[in-house]
Amino acid sequence: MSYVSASVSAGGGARRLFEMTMRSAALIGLVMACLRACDDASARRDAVRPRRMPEAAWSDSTASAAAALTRVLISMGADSGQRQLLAYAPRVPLAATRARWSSLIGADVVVQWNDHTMAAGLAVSAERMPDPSAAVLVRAAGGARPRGGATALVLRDAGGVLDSVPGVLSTGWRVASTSAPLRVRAAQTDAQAVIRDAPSTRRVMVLALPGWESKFVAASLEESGWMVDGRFRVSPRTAITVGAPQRLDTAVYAVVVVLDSMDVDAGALGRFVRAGGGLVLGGDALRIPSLAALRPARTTTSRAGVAGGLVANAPEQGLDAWELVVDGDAEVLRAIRSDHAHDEPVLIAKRVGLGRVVASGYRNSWRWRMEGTDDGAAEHRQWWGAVVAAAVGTARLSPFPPADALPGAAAPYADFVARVGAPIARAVRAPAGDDARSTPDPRSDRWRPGPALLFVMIGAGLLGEWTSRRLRGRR
Amino acid sequence: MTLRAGVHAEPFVFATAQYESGDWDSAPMVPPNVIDSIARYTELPVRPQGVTVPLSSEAVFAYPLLFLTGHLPVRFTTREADVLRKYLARGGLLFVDDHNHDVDGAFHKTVREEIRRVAGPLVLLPNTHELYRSFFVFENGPPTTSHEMNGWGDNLVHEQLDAVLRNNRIVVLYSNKDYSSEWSFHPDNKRFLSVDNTKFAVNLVVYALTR
Repeated sequence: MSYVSASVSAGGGARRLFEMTMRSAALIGLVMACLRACDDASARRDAVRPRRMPEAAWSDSTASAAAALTRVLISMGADSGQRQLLAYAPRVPLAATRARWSSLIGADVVVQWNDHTMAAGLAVSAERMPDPSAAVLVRAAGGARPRGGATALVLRDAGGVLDSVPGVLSTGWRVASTSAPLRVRAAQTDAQAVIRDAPSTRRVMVLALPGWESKFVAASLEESGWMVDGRFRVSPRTAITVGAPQRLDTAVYAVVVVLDSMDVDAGALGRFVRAGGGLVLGGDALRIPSLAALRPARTTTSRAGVAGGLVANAPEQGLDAWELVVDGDAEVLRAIRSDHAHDEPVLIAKRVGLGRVVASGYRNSWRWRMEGTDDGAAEHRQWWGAVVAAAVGTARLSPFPPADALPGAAAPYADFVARVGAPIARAVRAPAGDDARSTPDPRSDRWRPGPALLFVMIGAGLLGEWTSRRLRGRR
Repeated sequence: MTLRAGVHAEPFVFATAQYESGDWDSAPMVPPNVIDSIARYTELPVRPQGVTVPLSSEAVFAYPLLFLTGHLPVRFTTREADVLRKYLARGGLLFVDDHNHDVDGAFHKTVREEIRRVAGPLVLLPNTHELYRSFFVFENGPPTTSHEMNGWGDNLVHEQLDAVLRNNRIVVLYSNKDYSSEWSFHPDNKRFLSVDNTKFAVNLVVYALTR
């Protein structure tokens, strides 16, 4: 008997433990279901239900992009809860499309976008060279990938790819001729360069006494493609004209070159420079008293050229030159190393009004051409081309931008951010399907039981506990 | 490196080419006469004395206008030809005058061959060229000299000069008109002339200095 009692007592303990476990499981499941219900209610209350922007909205075709954006806008209706967009940007949209994106912002649409553009900051400038070659100087900088490292910078125009420079953060090109639009591409970033035109005139006026310096300076400029006008006084009643000299006007002349100490109309030259013209004062012209207010440097003593210097490595040192004291607001463009082991400025520029004045200290540069090496003529031509180019001002700002210069064309990525706002994330995978409404974190859901599991858990617990109680009196 | 102050504009220097063959010094009075005319009619700074520079020397590069004359056959040495070729390529102007004024003369035949070899073929220079208007105006082209029909030489009046042109600039000017004789007199004797016959030399110098 005692054996049976002990056996019953042990079986009842196990049953109570089982029933307690079942009740606990059911209770835990119930609590979890309640928590889940509360969580879902909160989630539904705070839910962002952005619509995903269709792929066509990023199309390079402005018509397709506009149609896609319009469809999305119409489908949103007037319900403010629906007027939210989640976008995954595969590329930086074109200028017209960017403008439509900003119109969405203006229509009170909340736009969130993930950045899949792999865009790199890219700055591009293009300027037509201020010389008769009319070549275009293109500079591009900032081809860095978002995650570091440089990519290839690719220059192309309407005719196709012109050049590609791999692995650099900045570079420059001198393009002899191009057909717009001129673009630079770094990875997925594409920037369009707006070519700034140099002054339209290619004429230079040379004011000098007749002599070898004026003759060969004019010859070098003509050989470089400049149209040279000049008036040289050879006697009290006779002046020799070269070309067809006209009144000094920035619409006619880009630069005036004065080469000798002579009587000049300083007032007219001053007006010409302040209106945007260039003025070159070469050699003895730096000693014209009436031009003292314009000159970027004053002369002290004349330095004789080094004997044999014209056929040496630095032919400039073989030329007679004025030693120059640079004005405070002027800038030294070129200096040569003297035999006193210090740099002596030989080309100095300063801005006067809208124009520039350039000083060249050489008094007899023609000897560079005639008495120098076999390359002397080309070097002399390059020197004067550089001097005149330094005096040619940049193109004045036009109140009307070029037709192909849309706002933000120089920095499309920055323009897009400015219009739409910063991206919420870079390079996040887009959910599959057009109906995806959010991007839940799968790692946070891994250990979260679903409703069915909770139902099974609660039901099994209650059923097990009930069954155990029903079977409690049976043997 | 020496320093000097108050340096003035470079004066023009009349240079005569000295070559190894022939008689390069057949007209010694031409330089002073041309210099006199430049000083007389213009305000160009000019050195009172001319210079003689060997054509084989790179010293010729310091004188972008060079005068060459003679009676005898001319054959440039290799060195002279090389220097002259560079001289013309760099922008120098060579004025050659046939002191024989004879198209059958030895100087004429040989020097034209040498010019062709060094600079290219000579062509007739039109009488409307700016050379004839660069200072004085010569409506009919090069002025006739009193020596062209003096019974010597070819006894012809040469209506035009010949030239080698590059980029519309004269690099070689060739004359059969015997300016070497026409201008070879002492400048003091100009006062005996009703018309100064050296005026064309002024045109040549002004052209060389401005074109």
